Amino acid sequence: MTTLRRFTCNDLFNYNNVNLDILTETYNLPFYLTYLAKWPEYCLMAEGPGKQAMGYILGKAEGEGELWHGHVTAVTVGPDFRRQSLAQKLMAILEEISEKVHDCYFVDLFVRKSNAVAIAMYGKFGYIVYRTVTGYYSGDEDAYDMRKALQRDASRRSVVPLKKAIRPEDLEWE
Amino acid sequence: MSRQIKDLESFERKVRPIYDALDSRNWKGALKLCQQALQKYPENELIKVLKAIGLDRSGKREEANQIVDEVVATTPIDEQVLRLAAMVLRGSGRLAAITSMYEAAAAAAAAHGPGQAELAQVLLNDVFGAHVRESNFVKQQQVAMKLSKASGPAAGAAGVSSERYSWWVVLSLLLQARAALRARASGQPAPPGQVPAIALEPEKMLALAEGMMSRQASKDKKLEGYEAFMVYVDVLLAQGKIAEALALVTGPLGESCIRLPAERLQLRAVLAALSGDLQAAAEALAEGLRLNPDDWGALLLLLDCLLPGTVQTPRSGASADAPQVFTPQHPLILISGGLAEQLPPRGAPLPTDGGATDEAFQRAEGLIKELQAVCTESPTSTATPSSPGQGGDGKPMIMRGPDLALVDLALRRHRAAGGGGGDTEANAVVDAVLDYFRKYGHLVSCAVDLRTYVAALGPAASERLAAGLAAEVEAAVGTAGAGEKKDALKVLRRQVCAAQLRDELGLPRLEGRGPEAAVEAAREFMTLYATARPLQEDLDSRERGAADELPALAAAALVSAAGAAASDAEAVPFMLAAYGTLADALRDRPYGAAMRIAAAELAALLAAPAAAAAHVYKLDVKHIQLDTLASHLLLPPLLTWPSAAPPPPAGPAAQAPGEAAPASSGSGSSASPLLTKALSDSRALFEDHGRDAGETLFTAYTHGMYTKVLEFNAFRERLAAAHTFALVRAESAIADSLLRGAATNASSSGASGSASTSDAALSADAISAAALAAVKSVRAAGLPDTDSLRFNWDLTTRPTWSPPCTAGPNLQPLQWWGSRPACARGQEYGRRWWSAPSSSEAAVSEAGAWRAAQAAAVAHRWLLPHCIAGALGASGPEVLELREAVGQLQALLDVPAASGSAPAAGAALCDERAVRRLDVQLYRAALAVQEELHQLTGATNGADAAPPESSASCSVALAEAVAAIRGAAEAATSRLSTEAAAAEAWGGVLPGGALAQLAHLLREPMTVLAACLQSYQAALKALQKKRGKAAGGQDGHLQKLAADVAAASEELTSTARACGDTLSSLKAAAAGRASSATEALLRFLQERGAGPFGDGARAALTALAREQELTLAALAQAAVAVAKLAS
Repeated sequence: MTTLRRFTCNDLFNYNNVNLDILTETYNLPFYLTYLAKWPEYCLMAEGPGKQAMGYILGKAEGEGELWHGHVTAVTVGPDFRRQSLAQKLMAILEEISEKVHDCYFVDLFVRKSNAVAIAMYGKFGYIVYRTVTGYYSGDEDAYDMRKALQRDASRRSVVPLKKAIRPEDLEWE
Repeated sequence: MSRQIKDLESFERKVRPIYDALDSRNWKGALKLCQQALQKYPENELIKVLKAIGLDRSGKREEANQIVDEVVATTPIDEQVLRLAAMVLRGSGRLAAITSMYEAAAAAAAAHGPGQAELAQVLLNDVFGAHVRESNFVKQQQVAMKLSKASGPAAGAAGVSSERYSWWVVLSLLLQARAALRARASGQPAPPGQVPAIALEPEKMLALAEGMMSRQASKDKKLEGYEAFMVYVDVLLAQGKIAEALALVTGPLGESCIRLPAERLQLRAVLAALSGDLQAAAEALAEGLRLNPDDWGALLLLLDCLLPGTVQTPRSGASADAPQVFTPQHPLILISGGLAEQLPPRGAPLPTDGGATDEAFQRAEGLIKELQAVCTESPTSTATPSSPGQGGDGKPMIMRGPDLALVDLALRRHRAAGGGGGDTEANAVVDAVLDYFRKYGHLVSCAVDLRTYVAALGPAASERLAAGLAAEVEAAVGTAGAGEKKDALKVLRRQVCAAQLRDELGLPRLEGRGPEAAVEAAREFMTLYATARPLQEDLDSRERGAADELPALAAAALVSAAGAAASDAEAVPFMLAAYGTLADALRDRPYGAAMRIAAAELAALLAAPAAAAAHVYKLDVKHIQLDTLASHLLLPPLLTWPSAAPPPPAGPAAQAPGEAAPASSGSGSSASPLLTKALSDSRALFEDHGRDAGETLFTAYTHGMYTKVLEFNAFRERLAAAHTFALVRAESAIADSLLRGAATNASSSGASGSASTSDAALSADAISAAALAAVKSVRAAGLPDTDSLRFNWDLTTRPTWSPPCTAGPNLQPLQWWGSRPACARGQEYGRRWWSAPSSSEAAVSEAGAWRAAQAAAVAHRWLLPHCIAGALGASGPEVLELREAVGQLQALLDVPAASGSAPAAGAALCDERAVRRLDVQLYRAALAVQEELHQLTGATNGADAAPPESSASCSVALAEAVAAIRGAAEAATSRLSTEAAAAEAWGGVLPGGALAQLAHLLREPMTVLAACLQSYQAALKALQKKRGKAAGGQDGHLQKLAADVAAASEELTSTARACGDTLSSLKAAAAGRASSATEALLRFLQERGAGPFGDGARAALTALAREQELTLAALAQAAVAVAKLAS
């Protein structure tokens, strides 16, 4: 059971049962605050029955023209709350916001090429590997740029995979 | 800039490479390029500020500021020049200089006439941002009004529309109202610039803001969006206008601004509840829940609305005579930093029937069961991602909400029936818990979900539940057979969950049953844990394993055995068994946070600071976690124990303790690199945010995120007032004063004259100079107190057996040992007040007492650098007068002690208050000697004028202070010797209590006293010389004082030597044992039924013993240093 609400600064004081997980990155304060200052609707916290943090998602909308899209920056679920499809629920909401509030063409995310578990999970949620970004993770690991088309992209042009890998500096958006 | 540049292209060719060099962090190259460019364009402002950036980044902050000041003096109006100059100024914390720079630029641009109107507008926008940085709400309002008037409906030159500017005015007004309300509540004046010079009632400001918002709404029949709407609702609620808020939400504005229907429905429900229409609220909530039955917040609120008489209020809440009201809580109506937070709307009165009738319970149960049915029906229906229970791949989501709501309902019934009394109701809770367990016992979260409910059960119900769980588990194991791995894992999860719940119930009871029961319980946990191994061989080491809770529970049981041990010494082998158990498990699952934290706490208690730090750093604790976690998990071992070990590399790559031997204590320097790093990293968190908060705040204004403006402002205040921030400033200042490492390296306060270097010899003069520099960061006017501090520690991460204590981190291990039987109880986590999220700021009385104790402890630490400086006769504008400082220390002791810590049996260790009393005694004696010296100096030319009674009291004060310190030191050394004899049986590892006491005495009071005596002797010698020439023999007082000081020195020297001898011989014994120690320990443990232990345990225990030996060596050195200083 979950209470979904907007992520707030005060959550930073209470999110340790999620962030003590070694696969979850703890960012510096300007990182979180910038997301909250620009895309608060995309930053959501899932709270458990004792008001403990279960997991959260941080994202944004960016791009121009047919590249206007929602982006998943971080999605994480605390070890106590895994295997309940919470990540899926958080992703579904981000997709809903991208579609209903921002009218985006697609949603995308980056994932380590080595993270087979996550890639398979996103695959199940309907994401395809759109392209490879070489050396995206501090130059030592490639990323997959995965995408899922939304209703607005009726022709599904956003999810025709690219064969050629690109470099991080050639990405359209940061 | 462009005026002087004729050939733009060639200018670009010069400047671009500078940017490139800066982008690639090549500061040296950038500076070289700047130098070349300046030869061609010597007056160019852009190149100058680029050079300043390069200097700033390469650490030459002063030079950078100098250049920026020169540029700013010419009133530049180029945006880029100003932006870069602001970066340098901000890095140095010169926020006011940024403001005046932009003000001057905006004025200059405006003076250029219509040609520069656009630029003037953009610069005015930056002036607004500068006031935001400085939290000057009054001035930012004035600027916003100007901007609003000067701009049109379309976004202007700065990309902001006039409508948004008028919201900036509203927000500025609201922030002033909030500041005024807070000032009123605290009785302290608001910070400058936050409230208008001519006092205006906050209520009037709110009305004014509401008027502006309502005009805005009626003018275009629309509001800017969600953010504007929510601020509007907040202001209405703060004024008690609930009906108006409800009308707004249900009206067209609500529809256009809140785009997600479910959110709108929920807001409507909360406001209806707040207005007292519980029926309407319940209906709206039920409507929403039929679409999303898993919404726990809505489920709880629904139960609250249906059964308002069962709402639980905080234990120390309003007085019993206050009329019963129901105030619904919901994140949608409580913006952090908002106005309703300051002026919460009054709740609705309870219905006359008390709001907990049988019919109401039945209705609630019916509704929840209906929702339960919705959960089981929906999974296979539609395929839209947003339908309940449905994800993208059609796999049903697990919706525990209504099932747990039935448990909640049972507990409400139990409470309504008077709690402990009704057996039927208690049994109903047990049955509901068992039902839930049957359904979800295989989920990792099951025990967490049930924790608060299980914690509410009395002894009889607990026994019944434990029996029920045992039966359930037996049944599950029985049906499992040799099936698939997946099924085996599910059965294992059930067993783990049942074990966790039993532990929450405090069963099997370990307390009062001797260590055997606890060792047995630990073995059972580990036997079950061993069954997980074959099931998860291919699991990534970073993932959580299926039974990772168990080693931490086993360790907790073993620490319970340590709690039950007859003496501190006899507690040690059980703690080592716990440490070994954790170390073995960490070999397989190196990132298990609960295990790492437990191991860190044990290492801290056993005088192994580097091991403790390595465990914490392995979890990659950083940024905000320095406040919430490192403050109470990392600082205690580093402040308590000396260590010369270097900081481990942070993060997943860090080596675990036991995988590498700790660094040796080196050349005996007093530097503590681990402590220095921990303190400076923590300070940086707060200081950086103090400088940078304005940037994201301004972004929120620019993007129209008004609720975030309020929230960020509150967050900035919360961090600035953080207890940890006060603590690390105080501890840095103390460490600096005692030459324990340069903790204030780059900070503005320490930049000028922090005398602390690792090689500095310990001398009265050096300490005096260091303390004089250190007091700058702990100004007397900023003395922390309970009301002004915010408490951000995440206490939920603490092991059950290491509860938050009343002492500050520097005495945390000592206090644990001092109240070991009370602390070392490893069961019933959920029944601890601090196990709930946000407990450090909770309204319960235990939390209040803890905060008061922490505030007193940190205030004491805050005053110490002043006391040290004062006692050594250092004076300066920032130093609090010694008499005043001692008075304040005493006043802090007068605050009644928090109950809870039971005194230990036997020769008691000093508790936190005793340690503080010792300080008071010490500095009072220093004051007396100083006054006596002063009298004598004044009397140098005349007769011996000091009144005899002051002289006598000075002797007594000094003698008593020395005796008290000697007493505490002797108690600790004699205790240590006894403990060492006992410890031979298990390889010699010592408990940390007496050691921590010695460590504290040597580091602080003995060092300070030795320094004081040295300086008094010097002063007396000078005086005697002078006197000898002036007045011949008549100096009885002088001789008396000299004799007293000499006697004190002698006593302190011999005490320090005795400490040093004991510590050295212990160290030598430990070194002699070396390799055989771990084997002896393991044999000892095996004989008592603990174990078996593997290679992980062996390596970690060897490393721990080795590090304790290093600690002994470092303490022995410290004792020698004190003896040298005193003699």
